[in-house]
Amino acid sequence: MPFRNIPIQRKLMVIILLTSVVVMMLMRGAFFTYEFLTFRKTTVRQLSTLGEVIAANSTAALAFDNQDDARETLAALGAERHIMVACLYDQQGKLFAKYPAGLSDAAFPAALENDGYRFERAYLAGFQPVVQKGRRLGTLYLQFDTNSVLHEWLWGSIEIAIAAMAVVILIAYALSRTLQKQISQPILALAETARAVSERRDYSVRATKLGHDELGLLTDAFNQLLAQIHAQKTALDEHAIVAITDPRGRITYVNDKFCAISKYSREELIGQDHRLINSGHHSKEFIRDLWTTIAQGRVWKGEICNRAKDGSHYWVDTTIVPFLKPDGKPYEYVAIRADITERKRAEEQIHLLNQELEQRVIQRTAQLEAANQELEAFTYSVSHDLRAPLRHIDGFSELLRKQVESVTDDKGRHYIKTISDSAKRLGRLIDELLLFSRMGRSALNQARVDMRTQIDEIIRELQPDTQGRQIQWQIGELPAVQADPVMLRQVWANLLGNAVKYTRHRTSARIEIAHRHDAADGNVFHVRDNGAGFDMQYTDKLFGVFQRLHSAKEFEGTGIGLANVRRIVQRHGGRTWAEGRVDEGASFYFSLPSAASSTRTTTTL
Amino acid sequence: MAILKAFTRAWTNHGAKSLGAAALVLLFWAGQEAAAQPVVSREYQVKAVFLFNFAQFVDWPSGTFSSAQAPLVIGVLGDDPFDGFLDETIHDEKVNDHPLIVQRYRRVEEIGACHILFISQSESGRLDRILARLKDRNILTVGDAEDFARRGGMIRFVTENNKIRLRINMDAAKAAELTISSRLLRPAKIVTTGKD
Repeated sequence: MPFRNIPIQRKLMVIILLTSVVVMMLMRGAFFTYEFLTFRKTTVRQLSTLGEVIAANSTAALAFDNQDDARETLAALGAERHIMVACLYDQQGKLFAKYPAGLSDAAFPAALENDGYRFERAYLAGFQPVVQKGRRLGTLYLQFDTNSVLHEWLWGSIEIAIAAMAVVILIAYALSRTLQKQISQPILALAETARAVSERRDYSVRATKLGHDELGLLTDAFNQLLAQIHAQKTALDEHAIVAITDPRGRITYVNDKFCAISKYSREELIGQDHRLINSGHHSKEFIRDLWTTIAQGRVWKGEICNRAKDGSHYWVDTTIVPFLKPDGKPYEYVAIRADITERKRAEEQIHLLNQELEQRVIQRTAQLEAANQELEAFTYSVSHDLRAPLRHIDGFSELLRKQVESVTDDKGRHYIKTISDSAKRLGRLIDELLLFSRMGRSALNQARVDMRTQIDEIIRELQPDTQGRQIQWQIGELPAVQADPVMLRQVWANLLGNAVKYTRHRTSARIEIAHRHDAADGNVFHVRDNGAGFDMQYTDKLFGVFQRLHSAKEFEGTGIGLANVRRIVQRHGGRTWAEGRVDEGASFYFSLPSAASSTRTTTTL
Repeated sequence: MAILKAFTRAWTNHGAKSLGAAALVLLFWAGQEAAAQPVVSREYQVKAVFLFNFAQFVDWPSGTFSSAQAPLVIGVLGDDPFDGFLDETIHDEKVNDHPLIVQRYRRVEEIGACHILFISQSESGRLDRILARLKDRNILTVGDAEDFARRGGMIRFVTENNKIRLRINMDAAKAAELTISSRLLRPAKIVTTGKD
């Protein structure tokens, strides 16, 4: 098992023990090196001291040629068992005395070497001058068995080291067993709490704080984290229906809201396949798409109809979040849902109502259209059929006038004239009604229309009415538009005719024709006069059929003109409106959407 | 062996000028071995070296030298048995800065400044008188006569197994205010006046 995977208790103990042993070994090593060096130095010093003593004791023997005494002196070296061999050379470097005495001469250096002690491979050897009162009498040679001493010393050292190490390990082990708990205990407690939290998804538990050190801080932070998660979970549980499943769809967690809406108990749900609450409402493709999406690690959102335990269906707005393993495969799905059953029901109702409404609108429209057509046909035929008798009335009243003109009095002639005028008026009325009817039915023949030309023509046509009157025409720049020229001509004819008519009582009439461009309405045209004007409270009635604000005596008219204007403008997609004040004049507006207009004519440039 | 030692020392210490003397010793010694000549000369050669060596193991009271460079005198009283070897041995030698010289005396009254005095066997008859005469002098008395140490001499050469050994009378040395190094005592035998 790799070190990082062993339990923290063992880890701490291993660290403590290892540290102790390594420190111990390093110290031992340093000490050992020091001891070794000291040992060599000491050995040299000891040997040289010994050499000096022996040399001092050998002076007389050498000076007075007493080999027995020299041997005796050397024999004292027997007390130091590590002295392997020793010998004395006389002044001439000749072997004088040996130790051990029985050894052959070959065991000793044949020739003198420089004074001093030297480490050879297995021993320390040295030549020590034998001096008396500054005179050199000979040389002492000593050979010291460093090998065995080193050996002894080394083994002694190792034994001590091993013993010390054993003691250290024992003490370190005993200490670490107690001390590591200070660190491992809170961590283990924390780990246990974390495990309990993640296993039971119970965020209300808290880790016990055992001190105010970093681990205490960690515990606090951990508890704080838990509190935050708990708060968020509580908030989520208040709002949402939450369920968690494993990758195969088995339920591992449900919150209270889930139980409440599905009417299953938690025990009945945990471990069950999530299909338990499938309603069968959705198509196989819908379900497959859901599973494909989340299995690929993507979030799925949608509305699902589920089935509760009692068989009732409920709708939930659902977000399923897959949580992925490092390999990208999901290990669990968290589904957060909101109950939208009511909304669904309302939507369903609205849908039904809409459908019903639409049906009704279609019916009504059809009815209205039928009625309208009937009415139009009726109007047309009535108007058309009325013309023949009217012509008869007119014609025969004329014939009658001629017939009785000479025999009748003024009264009779007035009657005949009234009949004739009424017939003519009715004829005009019928003509205009027919026109109005045609405007409603005939197709639009769109073409480029030069407004100014039309207006000039109409003013010319109005000459009979303007003869002898003082009328000031103010005509602004007018764009060319895309419209039905015949119909548009009707519009201008009506508006300008009205302006001329209602300014009749003005000694100086002023009629203004202008255009402006408006973002909402497109091209807006208006005709403004300083005529009779009207009361703004009747502004809505102005454009109705047969709606007249003035009597026929005051201003003659059929009451169809402005209705026709409105109808034509509406058919072009525009609208009409009017502004005015009694005796101060009126302004009539109509708009044509920009799409229907084209660029200004070259004449206005 | 002692002759060889003397020879080699002469060779090493005095260089070429001693070579002749050393060669002579060698020849002499070699002839002696070959012809079994009386051993007197070889014996005295060793004794001459020993006399010189005593200078290194004995300390004299400070007053015995007139100056730091004053010579250390080795005297021979009576017949000189060294046959010039003593002069040869101490030639150019110094002990504690004191050059060594040899002086020969016929009578004890002649002895002036002297540190080591070899009393020849020729003076055996007068030994007591001589020693009595030297009693207050700081002179190391050396001799090879019978009972020399027992009779009050300080160091006696004794020949044992063809080796020259020392007998030292410490009391006599002490009486003369001489300090004999304990090292010298190691290979020697201590005797007291009146005993042997």
